[in-house]
Amino acid sequence: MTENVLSLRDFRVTFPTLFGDVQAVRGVDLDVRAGEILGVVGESGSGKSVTFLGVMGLLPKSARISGSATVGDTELVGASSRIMREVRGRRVAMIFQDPLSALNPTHRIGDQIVEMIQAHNKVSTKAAMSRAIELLAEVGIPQPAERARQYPHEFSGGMRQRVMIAMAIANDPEVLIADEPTTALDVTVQAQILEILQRIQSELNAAVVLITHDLGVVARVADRVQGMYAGRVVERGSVESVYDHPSHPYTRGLLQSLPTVGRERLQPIPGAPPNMMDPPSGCAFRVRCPHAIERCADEMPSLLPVGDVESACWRADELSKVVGA
Amino acid sequence: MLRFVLRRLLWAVPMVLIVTFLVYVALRVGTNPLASYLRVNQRASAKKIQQYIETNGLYEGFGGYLRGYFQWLQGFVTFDWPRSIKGSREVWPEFRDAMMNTLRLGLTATGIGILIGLSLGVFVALKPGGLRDTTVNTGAFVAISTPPYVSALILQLVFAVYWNRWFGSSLLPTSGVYPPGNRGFDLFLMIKHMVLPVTVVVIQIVAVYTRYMRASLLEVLNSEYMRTARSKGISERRVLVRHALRNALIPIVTVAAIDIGAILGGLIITERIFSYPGLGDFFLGAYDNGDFPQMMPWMFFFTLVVIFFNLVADVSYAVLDPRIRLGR
Amino acid sequence: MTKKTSRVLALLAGASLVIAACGGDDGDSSSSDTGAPATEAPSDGGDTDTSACGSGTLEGGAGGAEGEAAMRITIDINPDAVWQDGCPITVADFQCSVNATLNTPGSISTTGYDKIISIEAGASDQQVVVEFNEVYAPYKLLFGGLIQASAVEDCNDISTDFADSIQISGREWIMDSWSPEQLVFTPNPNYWGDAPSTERVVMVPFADFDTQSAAILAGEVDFIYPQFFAGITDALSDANITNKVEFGGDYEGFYFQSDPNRGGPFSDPIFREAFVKSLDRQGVFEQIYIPLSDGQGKLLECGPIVPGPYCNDSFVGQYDPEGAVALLEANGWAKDGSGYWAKDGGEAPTIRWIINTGNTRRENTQAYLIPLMQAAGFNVVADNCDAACYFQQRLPALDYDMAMYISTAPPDPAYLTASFACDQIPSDANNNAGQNSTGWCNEEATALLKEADITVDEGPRSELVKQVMDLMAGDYVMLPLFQFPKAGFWRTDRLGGPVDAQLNNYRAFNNFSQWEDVDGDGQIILGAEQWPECLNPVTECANSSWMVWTTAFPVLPNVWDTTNGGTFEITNLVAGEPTVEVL
Repeated sequence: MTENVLSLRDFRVTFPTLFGDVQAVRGVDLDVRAGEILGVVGESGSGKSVTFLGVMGLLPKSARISGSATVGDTELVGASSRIMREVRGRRVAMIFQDPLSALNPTHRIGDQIVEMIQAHNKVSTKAAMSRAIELLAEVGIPQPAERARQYPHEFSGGMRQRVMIAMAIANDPEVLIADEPTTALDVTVQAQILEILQRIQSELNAAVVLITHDLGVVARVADRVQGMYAGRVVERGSVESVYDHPSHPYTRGLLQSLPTVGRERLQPIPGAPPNMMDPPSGCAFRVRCPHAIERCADEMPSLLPVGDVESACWRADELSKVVGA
Repeated sequence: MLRFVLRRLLWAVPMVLIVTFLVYVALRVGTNPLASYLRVNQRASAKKIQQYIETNGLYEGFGGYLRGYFQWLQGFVTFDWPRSIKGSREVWPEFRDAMMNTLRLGLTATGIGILIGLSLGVFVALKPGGLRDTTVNTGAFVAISTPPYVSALILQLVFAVYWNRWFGSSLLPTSGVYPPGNRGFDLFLMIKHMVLPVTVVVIQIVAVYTRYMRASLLEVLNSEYMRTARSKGISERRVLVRHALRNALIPIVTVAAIDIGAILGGLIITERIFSYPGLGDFFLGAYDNGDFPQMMPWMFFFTLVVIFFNLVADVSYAVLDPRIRLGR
Repeated sequence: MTKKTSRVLALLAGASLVIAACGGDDGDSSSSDTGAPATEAPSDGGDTDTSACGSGTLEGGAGGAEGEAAMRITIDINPDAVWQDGCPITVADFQCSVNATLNTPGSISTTGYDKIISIEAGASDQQVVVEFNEVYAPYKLLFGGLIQASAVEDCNDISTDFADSIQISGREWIMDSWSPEQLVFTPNPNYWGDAPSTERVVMVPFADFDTQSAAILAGEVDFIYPQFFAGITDALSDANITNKVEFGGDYEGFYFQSDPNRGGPFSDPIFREAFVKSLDRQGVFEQIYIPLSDGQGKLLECGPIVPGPYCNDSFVGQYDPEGAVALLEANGWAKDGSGYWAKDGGEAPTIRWIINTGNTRRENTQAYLIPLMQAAGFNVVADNCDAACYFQQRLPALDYDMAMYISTAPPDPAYLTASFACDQIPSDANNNAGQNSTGWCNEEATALLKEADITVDEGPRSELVKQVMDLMAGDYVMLPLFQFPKAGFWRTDRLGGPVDAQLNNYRAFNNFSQWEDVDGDGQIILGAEQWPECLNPVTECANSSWMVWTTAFPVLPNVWDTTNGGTFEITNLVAGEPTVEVL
């Protein structure tokens, strides 16, 4: 297949605090290929958003980042602010969860897109504006020329997210990171946004990282899926394989908590995510895991192929055989 | 936008009329101008008293108040102001001089104070939690809790009294608009005499606005659109200036506009300590005598100032923040 | 500050112009019809053309009192005496000044002038012959603050003149400018006496002592004349600052409202006497006043007057608690259940003691004395209000039982008549404008006071006043407490000459034309604790000691000035002591 456009190796993010270090991301390996949609799923606090904010250099200055993150040939960890600026918005663009707070309330929609364009292209404001209007039309905003002169508060939630998408694709980025792009939206609007994302992705042949806690969303649009728990990747593989043969108890738990036709009741995962200042030894999930064995506490499992998927669980082989759980 | 401003302006007119009428009534009832006149001019003839009543429109009853008010207003806007009750002096020249002194002191201090305050606020908000933040915050706290007469006294002692003792002459004067005996305009001397009083006021303003700006900018810096702005790949400078500063300034512009009236009114203490003959002294003297012809212009002026700067606050907020626009 | 001394100010203003307080008839009634409407008369009298000085006498003369001439004063004006424009000072100026004082609407006092039948030129336009309808002993208070007839449009109404400048001068100085910032005097080139030793005198205002002290310590002003307080010399201790403390005409006392027509506990003379005898004045003095004067003062025993030719020490030995008890018991008083004296089993009277709130000294006095008086069986309660309410409402309305305030005694005792004569008790007869705020009416004392006012001879006059003081002490209507110190402070590195020579004078620092500008900056700078709001010398503007000190004295000529010793002496306006004839 095509090459990897975004690769992470042993990517780590730590936040020093007064009470100790919070290990938010603890060695993530990840590859995103051009033209695919990668779903990254996990509960809140699993480190999925922090990972990509770290890649983009958008975390607070106190955050300590190590490992490697490359876009094409460009190493982002420890890169100069000049390199980071070239990457941001140009090669990697981001879409955020809440488009109301993510858009500057005092700048016109058009101007915000123009700023994105002009950050990487030497074009006149007028040309940039007509491009911005085109982009608005592209994401399905009616009367884009008029809307470009309006402010974010004059838009509905779905429309604002379209604006965010328009802004993100303004410079034909190689990677589009969508951080919970539909979480704040109505269900009907969610579908529209996902459609637009899919359409754009196929038009641009960009790689899309779709960060979400909603496996349903991933099932709908993603090609591959990657589950994260406690700052580590616990399972990855194609969407079909993971959904059909979840080999990690956490992924299973997530799937079981998903509303599906025919299921009597949802089964939430018992317990709460661990304290990342002092994560459990070995497999972080073991304290909530119904299948935990002694070895889980002693050794941290790494990602190993289990059938079509890769899973970080000592009992992945056994579990993958119990279909549907 | 123009329509909005015009509408606000049109609103301000009845507002000014109503508020000043209420002030007029309050002064009439509260100070009893006729009684004060008789107290100050104990041997005034019946003719003089009648004349005073007529030139000041001191008619009785609600209709009389209304008529008196409009008569006063007409005289006021045509600069045909009634004379003071003590010594029958013209009110306008004294009022004008006092007003100029106060405005010069107040606006200079406000300008410098807000500028320094905002810069310090930015300076610390960009690196919150560190030594710099703690130092500036503590300084601001100390400055806010130091009453102006204390800082004034310290400044006078250091730069005038002790300086004079140490070096044989004081560095900065403690009193007056000019040195005694000076005649005519002299920019250098004027500035020299403004340094200490302006510093006293500036200290207060800086302290307040450092904290305003710090809080406001921190809030903006922590907002998600700052992350969006950074994710665009624009320079940090542009992120700070175009996205952070501009948005952080919006609430402050509004507060500042309203504050100016309060600062001008609050100069009274500083003016007294530095023997700076401004509107504070003017009002104290007028109030002491119950001098209605002097008090009314003062009241009117401050009513206008307050309403005007509220208008400025409204309009600037509308101009700066699109969410408020068009007078909803 | 400005109000609490209003009585002092009223009295001082009187010293400059007329007589203290407002005795006599209402000045408006005699000839107020001549008062022209208050057109905005220009006040630039200084521009008068020297070649066309006004007429030496005023058409229509001056005065207006009815009756036979009883006293005549002949004043020979110094032939050298001229106004700032070189025009001679003549009879017309005397006439104009008297008419202005008598007839200007709002004139603060016409006392004395209202007895003048006529003012005419004698042998020349520079001999003033004044005829009075009765003998008027305090005549030396008259003919001060003279104004130039040609400088005003209408001598019968100068209320709109001198609104913001006094451009005339018959003294050492010319008022160069006056504003809320400063008052500048330059030498009067046409002054006929000794020229001032300085090119310029500048006065600048200060709001309070702190600002004044900072300014003099910083070397911004050369001289200040602040209100005295305990510790002031420490507050101004500096190698280059010196001071002089004197005991002037300001005195404080207790006053007891004793008007029989108004009722109140002290309208009963027995009760009043017992109360006063129970009041330990020495205790108050030691508690309150000794610290105030850094130990230099002593208890005032004269009465409402300061030591001098009129003092008889009438109040010595007033404290007699045993006598008070005996007196009350002999008159049917006994202590009730709460320990207060009550008469014939009735209710014990409550004594309302008024002071102005915020005056620490008076509040301390109340705190000290009220428990002592209550222990002695007198239910004294504090009934205070602010200065305006106290001095402008309660005191003039005699709405109190016991009061405490400062007054200023001018050199002439005539002010006693206004403050203590029977007919000066506010009543319908005097339009409730009488100045006798104790309500004391002793016919004998009133007769003696009136007698004193028409006794020109100094010796007999002082005997009459001393008798009045004795009567006052015997009637227990007031208790003198303390003569206040006054002090000038100046920088010796900037100011020299006889700075300390006149500080006890009613005219305060009026000799500054003799002071020397040591530092050579070409000017003498005086700090003023109060600032004149307006400059008219006959209207209410002049109702402030600082106003007359700073704006009237330096420019307006007098026939008599007061001295540092509290006496009168003629000025160089006249050729010699005027002759006084009792007809």
